[in-house]
Amino acid sequence: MDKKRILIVDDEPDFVRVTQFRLEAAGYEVVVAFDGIQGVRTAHQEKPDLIILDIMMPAMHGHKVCETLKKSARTWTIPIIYLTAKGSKEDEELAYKLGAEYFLTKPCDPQTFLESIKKALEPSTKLERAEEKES
Amino acid sequence: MNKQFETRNMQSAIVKVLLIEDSSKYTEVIRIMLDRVQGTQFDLVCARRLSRGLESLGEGGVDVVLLDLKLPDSQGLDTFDRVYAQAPSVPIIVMTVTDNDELAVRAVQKGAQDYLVKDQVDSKLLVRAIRYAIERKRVEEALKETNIFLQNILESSSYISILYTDLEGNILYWNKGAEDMFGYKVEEVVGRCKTDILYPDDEEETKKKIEEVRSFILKNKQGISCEVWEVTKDGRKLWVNLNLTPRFDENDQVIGILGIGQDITERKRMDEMLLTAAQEWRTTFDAISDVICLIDSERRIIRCNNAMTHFLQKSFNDIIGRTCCKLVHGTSEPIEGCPFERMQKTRRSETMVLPIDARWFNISVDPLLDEGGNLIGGVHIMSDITKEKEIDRMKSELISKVSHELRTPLTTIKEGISLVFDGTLGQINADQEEVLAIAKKDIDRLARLIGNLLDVSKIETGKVELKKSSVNISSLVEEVLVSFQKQIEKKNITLETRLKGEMPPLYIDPDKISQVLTNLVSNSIKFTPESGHITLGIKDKREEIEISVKDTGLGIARENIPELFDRFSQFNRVYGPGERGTGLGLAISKEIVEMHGGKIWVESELGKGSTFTLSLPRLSQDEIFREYLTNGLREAEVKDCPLSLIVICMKNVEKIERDYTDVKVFAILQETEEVIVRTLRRKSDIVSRYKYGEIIIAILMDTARRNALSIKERIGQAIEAEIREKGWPKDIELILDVVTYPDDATNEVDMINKISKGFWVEEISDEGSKGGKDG
Repeated sequence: MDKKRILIVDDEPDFVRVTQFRLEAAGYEVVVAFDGIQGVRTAHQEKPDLIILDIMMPAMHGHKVCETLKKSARTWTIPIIYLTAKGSKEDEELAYKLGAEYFLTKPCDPQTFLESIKKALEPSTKLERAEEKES
Repeated sequence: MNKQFETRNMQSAIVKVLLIEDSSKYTEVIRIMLDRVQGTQFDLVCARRLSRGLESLGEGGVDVVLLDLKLPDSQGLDTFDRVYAQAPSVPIIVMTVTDNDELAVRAVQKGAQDYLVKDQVDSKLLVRAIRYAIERKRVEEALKETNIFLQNILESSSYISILYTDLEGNILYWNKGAEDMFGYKVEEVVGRCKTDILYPDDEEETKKKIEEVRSFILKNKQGISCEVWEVTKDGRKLWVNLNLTPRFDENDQVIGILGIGQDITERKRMDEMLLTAAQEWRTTFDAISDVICLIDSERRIIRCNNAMTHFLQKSFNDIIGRTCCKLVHGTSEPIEGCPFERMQKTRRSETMVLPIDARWFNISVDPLLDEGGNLIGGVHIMSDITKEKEIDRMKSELISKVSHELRTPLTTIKEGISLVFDGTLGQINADQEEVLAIAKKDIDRLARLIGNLLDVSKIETGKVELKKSSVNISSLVEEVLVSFQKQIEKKNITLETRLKGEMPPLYIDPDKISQVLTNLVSNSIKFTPESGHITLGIKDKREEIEISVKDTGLGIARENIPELFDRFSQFNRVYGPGERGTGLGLAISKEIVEMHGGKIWVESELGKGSTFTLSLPRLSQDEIFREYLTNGLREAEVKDCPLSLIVICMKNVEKIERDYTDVKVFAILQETEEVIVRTLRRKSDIVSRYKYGEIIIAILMDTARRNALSIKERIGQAIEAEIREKGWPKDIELILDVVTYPDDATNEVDMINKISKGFWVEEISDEGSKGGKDG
């Protein structure tokens, strides 16, 4: 089976690099984007299996990225996990409303992080997500 | 007036006459004369020598003395003097011969009542002389008595000065009171001018005033009173209240002025002090920028300061007498949480923070008591704390921003070290591992500190919302204790758990209360020495549940207790094994407990240990559900979005309990709840169990009926999968239903009725009572 590809959209290169290590060690392939616009473009071009998304970023805000991706026929099925330091209740509510799978706050325990990714990649979850959207 | 004289009435009684006369012939003449008198009986006693006469006088009862000045043992005026000295109150008539009446006249001057020339006396004349002498003496004595009486009054009035002056102002009378008041003896002032003595120098004004008063009295012939400065002998100035009255002669001409004076210096001084104090108070009261008013027990404003008139844009007259709720809030009844109302109950100072017209006010009310300690009202102080609020907000915002900024690099460091430490990136040796373990521990501490700071700022800005659900408090406590197992063992601490009977479920935010308990237990372990003792107790106090953590640790000094729950207060900290504190734990704990409507406190003795206790209110199932629903519906209404309830009920719970055990049923329901939580995914969805877990209700915000139905399906499937997987009894009958706002019902009561159609029949028929077993 092919390696699952994960796109990390975050403006902190150090964090991206470290996270990349973690994900690659867990057997994932990683693509990265350092701002919102780059994130949307990479998602369209690479069609990753999952996206890790920050909120506060230059060029385009994380919520806007999520909204854009969920509107597009090419990208709307890609599960999105928020991973952000800005963990307010409003942000969380908005993220779920926009269709995010999980909302995690930095710093995140590696196990929780990997567990969430695993769950989000399960086909059943994606399917239900789609059903709900259609209903 | 005088008894002696009253009883001596010549008409009715015998008049005793003592005749001191050496001539027996003349004695006989007098006796015959008196015997002839009609109507009055005389008792004549005769003495031939003065010594014998004085003896008779000494025996008493003599009404009148007839005295010959020329006696064998005494001659001339000396005779009179001696008789007079013996009995000054007895009238004396001197008997004389023609050629010697000069002597008799001098005797009269000295006090004799009359004199008779012997050869001119007849019976009539003698009786008249006797009668007049007695009568005159009586009047004289009476006058003398009266004079003494008045004199006494005048003299004894030592606090009142009484003086009498002639028209030129010369002092003719000066009483004891005047002596005491001004320090001058009577002989020093009589005959001298009053002005020279009492107004010695300067004081043109006083002199002018006295002159005016004098003119007034002379012109109007009537008295007047005034207040003037008068000077004592030793130069002190007295403020004297003077009552001046004119004295007239028989032609109605003013001949002098009587002045009665009272020293009112002290009273005047007190008056002025009071006036000054009142003015100072008023000025201060008005200078204060806080809005202050005094309110009586009927909530009427009885006094207020300038700041209040500015605040209300009203004049004093429009404020005094009105009620504060009307003026400040525009309502006829006190607002919710009104500190004045609370103060009337507690009789202690009460406060509240209130926004009014885009400004923030701290309102405090202190009780106003009368001398008897009865509550008569309150002092209502409003301080504008808008600026403080703003600074506080800015501070919280800054903390929040800084914390976020700190979090980002921290996350990278943490993740980087973890990657190396846990061997993901390859094997490391023991030394490397130790160093990284230390780094990791400190990063964790830094992360905690930042997390706590964020917690504090969130709580302070009101951004924290409790996610309450029904929680088994005993289990929650157990969970917390389990996480400390290693530390407890390491320090060889004995841990004792005291549970008093079965605890009813508490309606709390489990994560937040767990945070509080973790903090308390962690503190206890930290401050308890090796082989110490920690006791954890849970008590059901009917209205609330009390959880206490008692240790045999260092204890806290009495003076440190009040600030213990403040931010960044740390005492007796020891750097032993375990996590280092942030100084925020207890402050956060307090906020969390108070958000739950509970209390947290400490009892401690230095060197013996501390007991931290938190009490959490016990809500009935009905109260809990209503709180859920009310909050949810309010939010739905505000956001204009739907709200759905998914209700799950184990229909045959009693049968299952019989067939298996209630422990099993409880476990099943708990897991069912977990399944639901997992299935729901959204953290903002609330799931809770009621009636000891027989009914599980999920409140789904912003969820339309259609979506709720599909979620219901999913939950159903998930539970069925769980039943298969976990081998639960096959005969469990679960009912699932959906109730949606605004489709099915638009208010709380309708919502409950809707649910009760399926499940809650008994509950609704008994509305108001506390539902379920815990009532």
